[in-house]
Amino acid sequence: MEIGYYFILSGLMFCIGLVGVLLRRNAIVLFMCVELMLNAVNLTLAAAARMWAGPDGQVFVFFVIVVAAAEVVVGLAIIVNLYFRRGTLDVDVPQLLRW
Amino acid sequence: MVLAQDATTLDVPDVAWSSFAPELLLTAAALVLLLVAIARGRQLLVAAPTGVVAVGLGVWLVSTDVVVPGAVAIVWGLALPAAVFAFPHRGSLVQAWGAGVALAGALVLTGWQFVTVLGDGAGGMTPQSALAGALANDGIAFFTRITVYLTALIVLPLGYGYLRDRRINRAEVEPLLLLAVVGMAALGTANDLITLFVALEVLSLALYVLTGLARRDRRSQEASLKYFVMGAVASAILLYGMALMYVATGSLSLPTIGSVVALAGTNQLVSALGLALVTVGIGFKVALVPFHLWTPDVYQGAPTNITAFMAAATKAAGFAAVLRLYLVAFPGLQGLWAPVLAVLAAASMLYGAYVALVQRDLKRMLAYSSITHAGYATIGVVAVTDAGLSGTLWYLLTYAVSTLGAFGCVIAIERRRRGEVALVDLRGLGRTSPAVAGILALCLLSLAGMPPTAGFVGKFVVFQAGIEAGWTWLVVIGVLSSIVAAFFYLRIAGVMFLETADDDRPLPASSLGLTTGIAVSATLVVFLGVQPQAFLHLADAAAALVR
Amino acid sequence: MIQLAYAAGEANEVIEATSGVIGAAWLVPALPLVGFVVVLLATRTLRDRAAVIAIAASAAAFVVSVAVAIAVLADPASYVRPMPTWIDVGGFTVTFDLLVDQLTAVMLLVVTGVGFLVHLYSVGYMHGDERYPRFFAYLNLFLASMLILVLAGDLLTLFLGWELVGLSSYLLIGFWFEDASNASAAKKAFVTNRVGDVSFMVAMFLAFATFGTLEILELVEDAATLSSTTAFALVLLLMGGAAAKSAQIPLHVWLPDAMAGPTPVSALIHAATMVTAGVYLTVRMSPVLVASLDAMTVIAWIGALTALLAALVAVRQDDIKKILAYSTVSQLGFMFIAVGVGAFREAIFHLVTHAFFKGLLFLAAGSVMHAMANRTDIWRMGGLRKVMPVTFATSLIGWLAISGIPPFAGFFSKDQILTEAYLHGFGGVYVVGLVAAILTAFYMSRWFFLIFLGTPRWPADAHPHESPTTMTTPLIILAVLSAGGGLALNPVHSGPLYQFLAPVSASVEGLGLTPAGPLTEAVLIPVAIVAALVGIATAWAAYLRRDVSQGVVREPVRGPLAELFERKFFVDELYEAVFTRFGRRAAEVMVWFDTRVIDGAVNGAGAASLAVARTTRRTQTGGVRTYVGAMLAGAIVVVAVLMLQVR
Repeated sequence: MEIGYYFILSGLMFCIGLVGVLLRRNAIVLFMCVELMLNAVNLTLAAAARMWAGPDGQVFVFFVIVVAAAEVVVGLAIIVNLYFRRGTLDVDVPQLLRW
Repeated sequence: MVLAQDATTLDVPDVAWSSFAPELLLTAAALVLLLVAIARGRQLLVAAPTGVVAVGLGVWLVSTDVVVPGAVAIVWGLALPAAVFAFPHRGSLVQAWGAGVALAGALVLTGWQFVTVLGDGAGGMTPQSALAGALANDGIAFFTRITVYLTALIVLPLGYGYLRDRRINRAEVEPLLLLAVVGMAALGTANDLITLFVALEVLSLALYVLTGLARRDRRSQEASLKYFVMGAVASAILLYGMALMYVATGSLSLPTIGSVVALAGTNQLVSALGLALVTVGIGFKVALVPFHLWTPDVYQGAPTNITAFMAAATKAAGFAAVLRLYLVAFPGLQGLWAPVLAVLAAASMLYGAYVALVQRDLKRMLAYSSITHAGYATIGVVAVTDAGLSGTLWYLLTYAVSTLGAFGCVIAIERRRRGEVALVDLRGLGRTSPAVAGILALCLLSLAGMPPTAGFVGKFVVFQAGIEAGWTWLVVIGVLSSIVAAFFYLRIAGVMFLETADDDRPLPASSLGLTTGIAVSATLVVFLGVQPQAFLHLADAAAALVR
Repeated sequence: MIQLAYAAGEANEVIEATSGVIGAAWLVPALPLVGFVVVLLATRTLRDRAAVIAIAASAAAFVVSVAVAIAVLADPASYVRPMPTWIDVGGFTVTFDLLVDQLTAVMLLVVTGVGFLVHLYSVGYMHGDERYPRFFAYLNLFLASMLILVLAGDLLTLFLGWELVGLSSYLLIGFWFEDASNASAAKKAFVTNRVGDVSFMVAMFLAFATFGTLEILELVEDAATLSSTTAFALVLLLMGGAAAKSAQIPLHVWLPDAMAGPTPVSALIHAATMVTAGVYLTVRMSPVLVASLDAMTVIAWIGALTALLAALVAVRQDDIKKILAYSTVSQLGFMFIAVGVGAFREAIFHLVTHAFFKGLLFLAAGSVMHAMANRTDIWRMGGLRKVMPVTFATSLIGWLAISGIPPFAGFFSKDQILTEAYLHGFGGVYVVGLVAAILTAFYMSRWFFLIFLGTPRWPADAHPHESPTTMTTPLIILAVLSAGGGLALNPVHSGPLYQFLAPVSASVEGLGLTPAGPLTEAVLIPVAIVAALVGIATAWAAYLRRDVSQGVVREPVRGPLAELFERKFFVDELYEAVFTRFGRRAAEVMVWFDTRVIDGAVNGAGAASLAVARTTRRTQTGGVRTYVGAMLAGAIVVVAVLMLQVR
């Protein structure tokens, strides 16, 4: 199959993630959208690694997966803590820090 | 990273340990300090064996003629158990001293690297690449290390009493700080996209947590969430940009990308898209308009010592990555990115200066000032010359010491009110606490770029580089924005010295650490302003890159 | 006797001096700097006695300056005193080297001499102030900054002194910050000066881009190679910086407000020294100036307009210090006329004499205010001649000097500036300058008559008395200098001072300047004297001959139409009517223009900035998703721009 399709698919995934971040208000869902964006990148990297017939891209994918996992740990901790403080996962509740 | 897939035997790459010795020390220190913190009552059980191992390693290193790192390992290996033994019930003090000694050791190791590997004996630098090209030990790396380690070393005493005042549960502070430092230093050395990305994430993840340190303070939590969500999105965008660069060039190594990207056969459209996304992601990290929106909220909400650290060190590390990416990987696309970055820089300088005018919270005002300063530092990047490169590195050092001093004074003032410092809280400070007011005024004058402070020399060198490279309009905007900025710095000074106090009592006495931290920053502000020679030479020599 | 054209002297030999008197020149700024630090530190223990240290430091700086000046006089040359390097990066080197030549020697004497006298005077004037030692510390800081400015061998070091001077001026204007208007005056001064600093900084960048160095001696040497457009831009940018510091239109707004500071500060900083920094800078760079006659013409006209308009405003002021402030602006205008028409030495000469007589007048004003318990309205004074004999006598000399009556100092310098303007072909500038000179004599006579002559108009509770000796001694010294300074320094047009300064001021011979008309100096001198007499006579008619002294405490001429009808038939007052009324109307318009239009524009720019800031801050909504949205919008723009470029 033409390699370009992979890039188009990953681009679409990336955009879906991005739009999700913009539209959703729940912190967890927002976070999952970010993960979707990271996975889109992984697809790009893997496809490109195939295209260039080298291992670099695939190695990068592993690093991205590890980093994404670390991000989940930190992110969930922050979100849980915020839930205890505010009692909601809505990121649009009135803000203390602005202007 | 070039491993032949069909080879029957693997080439084991030669690991040049010396090339990342400071980071190695700091990582080890972070892990050990974390263990010590977890061990609580049985700290000696962790500290003693670690000390033995470290001393043993040190003795072995010295015996193999690697004297300096060996000595550092021995000192650290002795210092940790000693601290634990001396302050058995004051875990935070042990943490602070452990981290401080490690950072000092890292500075020593950086100097050792310069003497043994980098330096050519005549004050210049010979850039080295290590780990099969993944790391570049060159000017950017060296200078970023100095700025970041120095910043962290000053932030430690600044924050020690502050965290106690705000009753912040603190076992994880120093280890996280050290990890962030490692990430920043690694960002300065990263010479391929993987290292760059991982380093960026290490520092970002540590900072997300540090921002939310004040668990009972909703503002801190809110800042942490905002920083995390936006940071994650920005990282994803940056990552996608990197992936596209890989798609376009087939390489992850920055110098290789640099040589391939300008070739005729390379897909210009894909590399331009990648370049644009990288610009967005990295613009977020260094807080360039319009990717700056997180900065004021996060700076205001985070504990002040963390804000100081973010402002001084993250900016230096972020710009190290900017310099590396644009000057090593994308110089061939200069015609594309230089105008865009110049516009972003101009927007940052003007926007930051203008919006700071109407702020009442001191930390928020300093946050907008940091956006302005990101703009100034970018002038050196768009110059795409050696002078611009060393100008930016030097500018970041001067900005770091000035902003550290300013935030240190904010911490001292916060002791009175335990919380936000608004402009009205400063009234009459010149009379009640002349020392703090004087130093704050000094640091603000430095941020405003008044001679003979460090900030003036910083601005002058960057503007000079900009003019030489033909960016006259950008420099004129920079100078104009510095007038607008002078208004609000002056307003703070005016409130302190030219208004009478509602509250005639002086500030509560500062802790020894806070006093030391502020004094060191203030001394550096004056020293770098009057005798910048030594560091300017280093910055000048730092224009040697692994390309 | 009168030499019309004098040849520009041979260029100076450049000598590196590490030993001897010149080698010790670094002491001149170092002494007051040390004094500043020591006084600040010693205030707690020594209390008011700490001031003695500051006075000693200024005296010592004066002594060293005299020694340096004698050394330069004995063996004229451009001495460079090597000092440590400041910045050295990528082929760009700035050192703290001191440049000592004839111009420096003159400036050193003026700055430390007047500076020392003002220190002495402040002992009496500031007596009893709660921050007495701090005042002296700031004065020392100012002195050190000004001396750095004057001694700098490099434009960037000069800029260092330039900024420090602004800073110490800010501290001193706002010294009595309990009054909010003083604090805002201090801010206004600082910010207006920052505008000029921008111009100066851009000038430095341009100079470095053109010459590759900022060392003054090299700049001056290479100035001949400048292209005319570069020279034009460079000179005007330098002038922008000079105009802010020296209060030239349209950046003069800060100086009258700066009178909020203590009077010794007004005398030292806002009359004698700091405000002349712009004149010094332009004269120092005179070889660059002569590379662009167009730019010089612009400078001459800025100076002429400033001289005229400020004089008109001074005519209508009632505050004892405000009149002197506008007068200072006007006199600085004369100096820039001199710079613009290529009479660089005349500019320095006027700078020196002005330092004498304006310093004297300000200190006398301070003495009067001291006696009148800080009242400043000249309509509530009068007849002080009898109670304050020393102040009266010294003010008399200052008044004659500034009015341009021979043989007092101001006559020589002002007359020579106007003469040069005429002989160099600037006819329009000459006429404007002459009108300004008449007005100068008029408003200063008004000042003098209303304060010292006539019958007392002060309120019953005022008990004026002569000031203490520490205050009158500086008055007497300055009075002697104002009386004899001109005659001693430069009695004829090419006297000893001009010979001395010849090597450091550029020659204008190559510019092809021709006189504006057939008149010669022999005619122009009497014209200038007549102008001064006309101004004094008019003021005499307006304020002494008519009996305003009998209890009149307001300007007698008010309500233009009624006045016009009333006086129409008196022929003997026609002269006055034409003069004063027109002058007053013009002055009122100028006051209005000054407060409404120029101030309004300055304030308006500030208000507009705040409005912009208030709107833009709303971008910071606090919502995470809004932020991400904004970031994406920015990202889309960046992507679009980059993609469109490649296509």
